[in-house]
Amino acid sequence: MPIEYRNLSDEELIARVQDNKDKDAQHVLFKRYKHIVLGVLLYHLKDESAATLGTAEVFEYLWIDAQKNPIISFREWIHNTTKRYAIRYLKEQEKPIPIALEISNNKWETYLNLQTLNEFNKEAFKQCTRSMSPKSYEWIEMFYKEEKSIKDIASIKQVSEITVLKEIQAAKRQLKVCIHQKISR
Amino acid sequence: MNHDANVFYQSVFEQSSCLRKRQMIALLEGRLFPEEVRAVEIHLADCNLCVETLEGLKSLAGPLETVLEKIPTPNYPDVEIDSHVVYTPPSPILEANRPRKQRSIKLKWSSSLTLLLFLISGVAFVYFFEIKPNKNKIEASVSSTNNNQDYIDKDYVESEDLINSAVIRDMPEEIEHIFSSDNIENSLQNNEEDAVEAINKVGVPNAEKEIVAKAEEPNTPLKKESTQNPSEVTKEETTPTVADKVKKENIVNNSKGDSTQKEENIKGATVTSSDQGSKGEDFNYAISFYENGSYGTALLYFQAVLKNKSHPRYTDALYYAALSQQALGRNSEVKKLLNELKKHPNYQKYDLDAFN
Repeated sequence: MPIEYRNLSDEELIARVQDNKDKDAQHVLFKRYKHIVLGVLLYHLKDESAATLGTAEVFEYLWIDAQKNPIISFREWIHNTTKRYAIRYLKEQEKPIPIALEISNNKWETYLNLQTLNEFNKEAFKQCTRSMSPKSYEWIEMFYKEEKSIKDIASIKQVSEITVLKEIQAAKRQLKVCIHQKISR
Repeated sequence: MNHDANVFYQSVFEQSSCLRKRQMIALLEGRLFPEEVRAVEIHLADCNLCVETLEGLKSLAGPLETVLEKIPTPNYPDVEIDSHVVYTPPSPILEANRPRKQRSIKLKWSSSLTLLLFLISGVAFVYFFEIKPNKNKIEASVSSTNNNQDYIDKDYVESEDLINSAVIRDMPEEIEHIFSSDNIENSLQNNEEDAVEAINKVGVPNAEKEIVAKAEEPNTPLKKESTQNPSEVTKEETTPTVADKVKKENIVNNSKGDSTQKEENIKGATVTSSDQGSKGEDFNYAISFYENGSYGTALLYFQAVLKNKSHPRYTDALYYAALSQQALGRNSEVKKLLNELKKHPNYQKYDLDAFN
């Protein structure tokens, strides 16, 4: 029975690349993520031809790296590797490296499973939402509790939709850090 | 936490897969299905990767499909995996961004290696600059007096022993009492006699003479307005050493006399040997050793001079002994010697700024 690669998750595909050197699995990953890698490279490099060439190189590197090093979170891996490619390219071109290219080394984020609602998480979440700054909590409250759309929040706050998304991400990150500290005590 | 709160919590930490190409194009073109708008927004609120992608793709002039077709198909070469070799990413940037754990191990190794190197260099430094120079100095003094090699070696060892046996360290306030200990007296006396005998036998070699002559020249640390009469010094220094020998022999022969007389004679002999025979020589040898950097040996001779307060070079000996002690890093001895020097009216002619 032929394998339906389309139905496999990213982690399953990576496992096939790592264990069986499965080029088909690798190609599915390429098709699934090439627009994302291209978009990230376009965002950082502002150069279409460099971004298209870089996209292929990132996947070539994935093929080699996947067989030699374990890839735990594919999303994190592809994001960081694409950023590193962008940094290298900008350095070669002797262009300034933007702060947005800073690579997160917080590995705990990969392993912190906050989706599971247990007693520890609940209590930590309660405490952390209380201790958050009101400004940060407002973004979370509007988007998750009041279920307002990004567009609506942008018009209320008089900012762009991207800014709204980034503010929510920042507030969530603050919450995650707080919960992680409370759980790890 | 009530039911609503649970929903709030779960919606905050809900995770979903990244946006597919179709979703991304629809989002860019504003053609998302109403039922999937919320899910896409929740994902975007959690995924910086997709937000960056969205921003990057917004800058595209043409349709996304056309640009995606331009991406070359990646090559997937066969990778030889050697389980013993740790894979190194091709870019130095990638290397710099390795997981912290691996880097910390590397750091630990490099820091311990640095520490080890530092320790080795420290030991080497101590060996070469603290031990070797002393050896070199004695070797130099030995080579300068080839004919007196045995004597010099013996002298060096004895002088070092004397210094180490805290002769100088335990110096009393009055310099004349420094050598009051019988053992020290004897060892100094023996040493002095050995030196006198050896030099009388062999004579001062040319190199040594040059050093002595150099030492007799107006000394640089001294201030120019020296009140000393050079003719007197020359006279004293050229006193025949044979006289010493004769006097010593006489003293030994007269040992049958009463004990008081004997003590006086011995004392007189010691004084005479340094006062007449080797009065100038002691000082000159001391200076020559001082010039050579053999401070320990020089000190021995200076001490011989300092035994006699009426020695014409007494204050000079004090000054140079202090300099030698300073060179050996014995600050307390330097202080004592300088205090003694300051008791003499002509101490101002010495350059006391040379001392810390």
